[in-house]
Amino acid sequence: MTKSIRKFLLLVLFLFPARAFCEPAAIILSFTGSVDFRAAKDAEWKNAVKGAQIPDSGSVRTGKESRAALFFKNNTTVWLKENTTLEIQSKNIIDNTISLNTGSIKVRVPHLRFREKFSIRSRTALAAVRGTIFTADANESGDLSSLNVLFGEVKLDIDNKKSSLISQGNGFADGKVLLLSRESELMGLEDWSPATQDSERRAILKDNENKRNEIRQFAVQTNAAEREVAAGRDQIKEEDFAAGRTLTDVHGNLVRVDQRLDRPDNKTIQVINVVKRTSYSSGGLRQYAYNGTSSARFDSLIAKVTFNSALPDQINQFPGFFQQNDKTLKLDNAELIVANTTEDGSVFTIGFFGKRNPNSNSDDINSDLYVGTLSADATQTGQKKLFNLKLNSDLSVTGLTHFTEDTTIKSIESPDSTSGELYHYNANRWVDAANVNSKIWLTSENFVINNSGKIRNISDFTNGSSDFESLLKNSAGEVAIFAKQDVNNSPSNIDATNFLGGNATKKNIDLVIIPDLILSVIKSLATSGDALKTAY
Amino acid sequence: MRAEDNQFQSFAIQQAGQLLANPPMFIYEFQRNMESTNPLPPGKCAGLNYHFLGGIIIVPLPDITSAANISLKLRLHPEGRLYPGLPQVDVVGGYWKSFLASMIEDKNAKDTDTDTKITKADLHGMFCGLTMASSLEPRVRLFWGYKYSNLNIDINLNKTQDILGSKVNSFNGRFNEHTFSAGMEHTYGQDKRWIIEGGYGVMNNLLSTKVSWYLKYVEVGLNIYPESVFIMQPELNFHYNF
Repeated sequence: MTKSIRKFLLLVLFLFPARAFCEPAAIILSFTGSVDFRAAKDAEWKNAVKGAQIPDSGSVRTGKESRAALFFKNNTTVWLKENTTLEIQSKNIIDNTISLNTGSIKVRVPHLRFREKFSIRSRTALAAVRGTIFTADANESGDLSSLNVLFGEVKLDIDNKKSSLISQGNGFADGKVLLLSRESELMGLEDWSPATQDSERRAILKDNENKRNEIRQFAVQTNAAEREVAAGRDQIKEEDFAAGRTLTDVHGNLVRVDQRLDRPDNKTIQVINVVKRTSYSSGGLRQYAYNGTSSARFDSLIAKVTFNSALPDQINQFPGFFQQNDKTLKLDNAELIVANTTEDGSVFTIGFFGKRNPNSNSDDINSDLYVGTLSADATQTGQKKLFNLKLNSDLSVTGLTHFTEDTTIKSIESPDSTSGELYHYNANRWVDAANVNSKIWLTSENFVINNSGKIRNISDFTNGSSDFESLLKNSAGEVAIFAKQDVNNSPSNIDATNFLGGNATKKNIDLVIIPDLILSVIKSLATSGDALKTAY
Repeated sequence: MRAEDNQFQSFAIQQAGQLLANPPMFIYEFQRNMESTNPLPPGKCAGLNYHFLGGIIIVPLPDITSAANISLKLRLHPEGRLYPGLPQVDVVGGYWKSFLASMIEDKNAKDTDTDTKITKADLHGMFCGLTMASSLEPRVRLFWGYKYSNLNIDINLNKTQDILGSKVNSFNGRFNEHTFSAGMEHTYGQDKRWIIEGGYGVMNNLLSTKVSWYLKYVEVGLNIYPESVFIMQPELNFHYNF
């Protein structure tokens, strides 16, 4: 059987010798510009024509601004850039070698069958490939100056001494194997076809890049949207609750009130109530005189309590937590700060600061009064200082004067209302802790108003037809607070300046406080009844 | 008792519960770290892989001291060799066995002994699969593949023990999984690449993801198993590709 096959092959070679040995090694697939070819080393150069056949030992050269593409029998394509010369050495269909004398080529060897060979030779190097796309450059001396492997691998022999296997994504230059630079990669991947305009060679790459950018952009937008949702979620957790309302105060000023409940840390709960007015009329005051300006103003309240242990993240877990830890949970610090924060550099502030004696098991917190005007310095504005106020270990508060309650004199209270009007005033005298001769009166006028600024009557709550929630949504408290000088053991109309940080600018603090935040908390607790029963 | 003690106790109970519920599946979480399924780098025909650790910092289960392991990769077909566009095809496989397990055996233990002893301990596993890789760009390859995993656990005690309310005198089992995976490899330097890979085990609905830095001889990675007790497990592999 083997002998029969051998005889058959010999017969084929005998009958078709020209077919076996005269096949062209390659054909010129396309070209542009000045391209020549010759059939042998010593043959004349001829102008290239499309489809011209290049036999073994034939050569092709491209001139300035010229390109060509060759196609080999084994389906290999070779693209030549300008000023490139190569010679084809084709022993047979399965063994092809290209000698790159000078210039740049891109080679695509799609697939080789068993024993098939394809190699690129320069004066000093031999690159053997199979299933590879790569580019090669040779200088004018015929030395391989660079080789970039785009896909597959190349076995490279330099001077018949050193052999390197260069895999895709890597290249050879300056005697070393290196990772391809992005530019080398793009240069290799671009369209080398002679017919393609130079400006269009990277069109597909750019299109791909644009598509990737679109995907990246989509990812960025999706991320941004997710971050927004996450930020909203975090804000809800951080703030727990927020509320706001626009109404008219007792003086007839348009007021915007914003409230929020914050958790500065896991032991602390803080409520901030901010009141903004575009102008200020004090016509609603009945007892204590306002001597300041009528321009736009900004009043704030900060109430902060700090416990001795961490509180649950969710406010609706508070009742269970407090119930379970009622023996050990204690209030460490309590602060109530009110301020006229209209001016950055002059924040008239009144605060009550107290802390529990950590060595006692008592729940009592004794607080004192601290009054002053917070001014701006090189590092902080007065407003920023307001949020950083804290009770020091020596019972001082930086920037404010410490007062203790004067127990030698009765506080002043408004007489009980006979009409049921929800209005009340009061005054208490306080003594400078550092100077017993310096005394001030802390006075306030307190109103319960509706959203139109009309003072509420107790009957609105006891006899009204509105439901409780609607009533509260249409109600607010207003408190106007003053620090007045002590004249003849009574609060005078003059604003107190007889202490460090005195109220020389004649400011008062006029706060409108809405019950909306508390209402939100109550509703939240009411709708999570299980939390009230379940231990934390 | 401090809060941390409580957390550790509940964590330990959770671990023990998982072990009791399905001992091989518990161990398989660690085997997965040893199963290297990413393709051989371009130009390499074969590779040997040794796994050093994986999630074992916390629990002294299969690690360098107790689990001898080896895995092998063989390239069956380089990308584009037979036909343009045909991917690189690698066959992968590996085996591990816990030697520490057999060292704690006490063959002479009887059920009348006061102490509970292990009379037989055998832990071993294997995997095999096929991985294919296709180039997206010269330095970016996509890969996908299939692997079959098998794990055997056989631990016998000399007497019945009450563990978390269950009567236990042996942990025996066999675990099989068929996993399909896909990933991307990006070469960012000479012999430096990062790999991201995701897998899904169809028999036990096991999800896994892995991010790793694959250097010339070492692979450092992080496995993420969302349904596992140890969600994140570090990985350190030594490999030699040629």
